[in-house]
Amino acid sequence: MAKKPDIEKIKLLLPDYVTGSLSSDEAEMVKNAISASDEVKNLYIDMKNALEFAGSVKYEEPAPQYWNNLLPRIHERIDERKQKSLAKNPLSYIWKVLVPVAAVILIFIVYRISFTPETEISEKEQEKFKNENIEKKDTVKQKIPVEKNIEKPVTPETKTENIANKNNEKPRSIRQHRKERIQKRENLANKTNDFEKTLSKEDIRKENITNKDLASIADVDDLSIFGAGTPGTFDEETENELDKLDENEQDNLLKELSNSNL
Amino acid sequence: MAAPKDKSPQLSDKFSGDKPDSELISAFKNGDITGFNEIVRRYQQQVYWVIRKMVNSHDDADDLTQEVFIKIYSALKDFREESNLFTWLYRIATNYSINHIRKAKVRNTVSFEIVTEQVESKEKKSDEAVDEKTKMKLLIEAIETLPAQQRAVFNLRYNENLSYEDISKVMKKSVGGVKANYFHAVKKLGDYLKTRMRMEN
Repeated sequence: MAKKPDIEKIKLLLPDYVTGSLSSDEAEMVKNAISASDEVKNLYIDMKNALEFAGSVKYEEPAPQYWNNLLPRIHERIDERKQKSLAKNPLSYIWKVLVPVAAVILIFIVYRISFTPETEISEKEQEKFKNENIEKKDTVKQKIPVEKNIEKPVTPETKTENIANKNNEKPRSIRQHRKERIQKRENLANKTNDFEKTLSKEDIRKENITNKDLASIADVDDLSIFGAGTPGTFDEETENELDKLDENEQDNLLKELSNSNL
Repeated sequence: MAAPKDKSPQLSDKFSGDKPDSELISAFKNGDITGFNEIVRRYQQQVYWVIRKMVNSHDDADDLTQEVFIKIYSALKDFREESNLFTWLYRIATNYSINHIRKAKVRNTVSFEIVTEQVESKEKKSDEAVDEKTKMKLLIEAIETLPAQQRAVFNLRYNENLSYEDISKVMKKSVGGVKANYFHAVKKLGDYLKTRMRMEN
């Protein structure tokens, strides 16, 4: 049992025994172990062969000029690294500072372009715009059934259908009609005022403005509101007469008028 | 065969030149590039061979040698001279080689290299040369079976004749650990070569 650790220690000394790197005492100890133990002996032989083989191999030397060129090549590489590190620093500065600043400036420019003071709309103008849109929708709604009627070919059958539909339709009351008319006039007055503002003084002087111009500015399809006696409205006298009648009489009269295609 | 321990010179004596290393280091620290240049000239061959015998390739050894000296160049200003310059150089060279071996998995490949610039006539390429190449190839194969740490210890002990104490400083390992590594490296080499010889016979 006491010998076993010694053999392990001796085994560790074997490579140095092969190369002759041991002290005389150590070498003597290893020599005795080799002669006493076959295991140590075999190990010694293998190690000796391996180290002798390794010692016998000659590495091919680099060319003599290699050693002269090594230092300049090292300096070249150092310079390359320095240049690379210099080149990297401005890039990192650009990415860290300039790019975010440029992005902020760009966003500001885009914001300014899309929301310039000229395009900003005041609350009053927005309301006006909404009213105009509502009116436009109303006029379009009124216009659509008329257009549909025009498109349909007039046959005796369709004529009787139309008459039946007209009889079933509830005619608008006079009050409703008058209210709408008054509102239209008010809107028109407002728009003509706006229009006059936009027109040049010369145009006004020459009186080049036509009802069509006004209609286009007012965005109204029904031109009847610009003059009495045109289809869609009554003159003042008939309206006064209608005011005198009660509602049933007014309705009957309107039916008669619509049936007579006046 | 490697020199015995008693005869092998100490590392401090091994690379003693006209000027001591400390003077070269202080010159470099004061901005004198000649200090660095002298260090390269003094140690370039030692560094190259330490690496070459580990990576077994001239091109890799050349590249790593340059990298080692670039590392020295960048770190020499902060070198506190707690250890000797040669120990530091060996440590960097060994670590670079170990990293290279681990990365490239050189153990699995045989990278036999012939230095192209060596001028050899066709006549010289005799049977002896072929035998040398075969032997070299076999040795490289055997060395490449070793783990990187064992390869480094074997190289420093057998080829560079460093004492176990110096190797322990370079490798930052205990002397006992270094001795064990050396023993296992030699044993593995012996086993591999024995097997190969048997196969060829």
